[in-house]
Amino acid sequence: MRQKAKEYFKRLRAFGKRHNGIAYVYMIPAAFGTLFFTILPFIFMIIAAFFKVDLVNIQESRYVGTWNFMMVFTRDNEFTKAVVNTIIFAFVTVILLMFVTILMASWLAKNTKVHNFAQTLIFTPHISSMVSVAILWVLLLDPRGIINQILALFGIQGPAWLLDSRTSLISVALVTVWKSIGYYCLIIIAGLQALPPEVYEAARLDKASRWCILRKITLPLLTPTLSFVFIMKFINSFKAFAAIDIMTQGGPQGSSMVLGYWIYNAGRVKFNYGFSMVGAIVLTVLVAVLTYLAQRFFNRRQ
Amino acid sequence: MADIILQDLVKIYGNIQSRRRRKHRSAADGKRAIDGINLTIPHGSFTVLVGPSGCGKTTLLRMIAGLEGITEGKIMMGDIDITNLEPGDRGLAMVFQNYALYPHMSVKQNIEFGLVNARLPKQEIAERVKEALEIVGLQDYAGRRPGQLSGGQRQRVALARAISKSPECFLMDEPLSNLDAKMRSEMRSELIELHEKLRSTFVYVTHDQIEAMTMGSNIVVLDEGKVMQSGTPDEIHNDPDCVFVARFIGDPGMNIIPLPDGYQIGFRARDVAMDATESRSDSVLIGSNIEATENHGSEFLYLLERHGQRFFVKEVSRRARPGGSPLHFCVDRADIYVFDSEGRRVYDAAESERVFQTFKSLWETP
Repeated sequence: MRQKAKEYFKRLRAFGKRHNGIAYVYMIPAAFGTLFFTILPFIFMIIAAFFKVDLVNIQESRYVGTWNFMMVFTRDNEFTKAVVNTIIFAFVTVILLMFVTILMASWLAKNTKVHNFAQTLIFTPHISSMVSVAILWVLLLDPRGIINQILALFGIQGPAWLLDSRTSLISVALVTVWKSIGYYCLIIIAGLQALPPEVYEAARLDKASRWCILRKITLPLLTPTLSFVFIMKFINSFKAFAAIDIMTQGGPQGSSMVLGYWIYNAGRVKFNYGFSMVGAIVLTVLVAVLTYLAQRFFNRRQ
Repeated sequence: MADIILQDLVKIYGNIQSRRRRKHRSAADGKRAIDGINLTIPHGSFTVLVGPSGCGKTTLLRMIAGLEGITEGKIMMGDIDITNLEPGDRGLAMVFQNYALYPHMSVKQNIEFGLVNARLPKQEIAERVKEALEIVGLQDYAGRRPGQLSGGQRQRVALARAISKSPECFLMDEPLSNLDAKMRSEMRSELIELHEKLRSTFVYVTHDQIEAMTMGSNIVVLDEGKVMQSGTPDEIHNDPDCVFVARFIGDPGMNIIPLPDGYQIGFRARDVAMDATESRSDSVLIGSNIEATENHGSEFLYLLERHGQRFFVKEVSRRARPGGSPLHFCVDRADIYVFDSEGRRVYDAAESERVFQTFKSLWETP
């Protein structure tokens, strides 16, 4: 690791020398943005995790060591729930999304009027804001809402969805999947259309059935696209906030509490910034580790 | 032992008319890529479909393979109608121009794929893969991915994949066009050898008339979706049926000189006697100046012009004649081909003699 870093800086210096130092000037705008909006907040996050922060009188903040960590990890049972829920939420949304989008994309990856129209339709939720989508679904998922009334027509007693601690998390997951189908479907369609057509012709001459083509040709060839979709959606799911905030606010009884909402709750509602920074660190580490594992999994498959 | 028989084959791209309207045979909106082809591809032949780009040769091959829908007509394999069979059920194997290997599978898996789908016993699959790899000389590459192979090697894998199926018929779509010149001539002779060895039918598509002449035992010249002529390389080269074939086959193509009465005279650049001086009754003596010279190493190609017509003559020689110098040559009656105004060959002796005399009177240089 250190060897790599050294190497990197050596190359950077060589690059600067080769270009009379003017290269550094060109880098300033990007470096400025990165410094103030990524690196400094990141450092602040780590520092603040060790303080009892008082945002009104910042001088009143005092160093508390690992007390924030101790409290969050041992005393706050909503936090443990949030971590578990976040992981469940991420996996459920990603796996459900992948399943639905692959099926829909392989159906929609044609260039007829009907298919183009359908592509536009399923893309619409992506351009509307999460807030309006969430409000819409709050109405739809009401215990006496449209969905349960339709279910009642078939003699099914629908659950209370967002108000039941057994279904709240999965309901929110379904809504976020619904919203992102169009976007990720489009990415997979693009991936499908980039696959070489003659390989499919060869497969037809090789007597491959449709199922066999999907499993042995399409999915392996689509791995780069799928890994992109998986990782992007995975990271986005970890950061889920707006949907939870509007639909359940983490309830009932913390059943839909996820890390993103917990951090907000600890900081902006309970004014305990130290705790929320601890949560942010945990979230960062979780995302980093799981993304790394996912990447490795997909790389090996390629 | 089955010949492949194409009956009244038609392919229309674009707007295919409804059945009801097609009855009236009004002008079709779509492009007729294949326009009523009748052809028999004899079993065991090395048949080359050749023609300029856009002539429909690849479409025709893909129709035989079942990858392209058929608008009208029938394809028979012996007595069996295969028009509506799935590509995999036709007993064919195809080699694509860009190889179409499965990039994520090893060489062995590439070859196996079709055999596994055909549910052959494991033992036999292993034997066939081994044999196919031996034939193309890639035994040591079974575990490699296509991405780790050179163009020539990939082409061999594609060939091995086809061989392993021991098909009635091999379809090849310009398989050598992505290779460099040296590799191409190497693969050319390997393909001829392979055909000798396997004795199954080869249908080979190319735009390169040299490839067609050197490889084919049976050549089919296509243009605008129609068969212009089919026959052995000798027949095609020495006895062209029409101006199109005469021009397309040969290096360079035949010189075609239109006469004022609409007839056309053709002769090959090679069939001339250089530096002729005396005129005989059964030949034409032509004099002109050299406009340009092409060096082919051991032979030279001279571009001449007379009566506003450009034509080539060829001479086997070590040294080029200087540009602009006068050149007299003589073409025998026997080497002159006569075509009518629509470009069809004139076989009638009296008619062709009359045209020859017209040509002689107009073109003979005193």
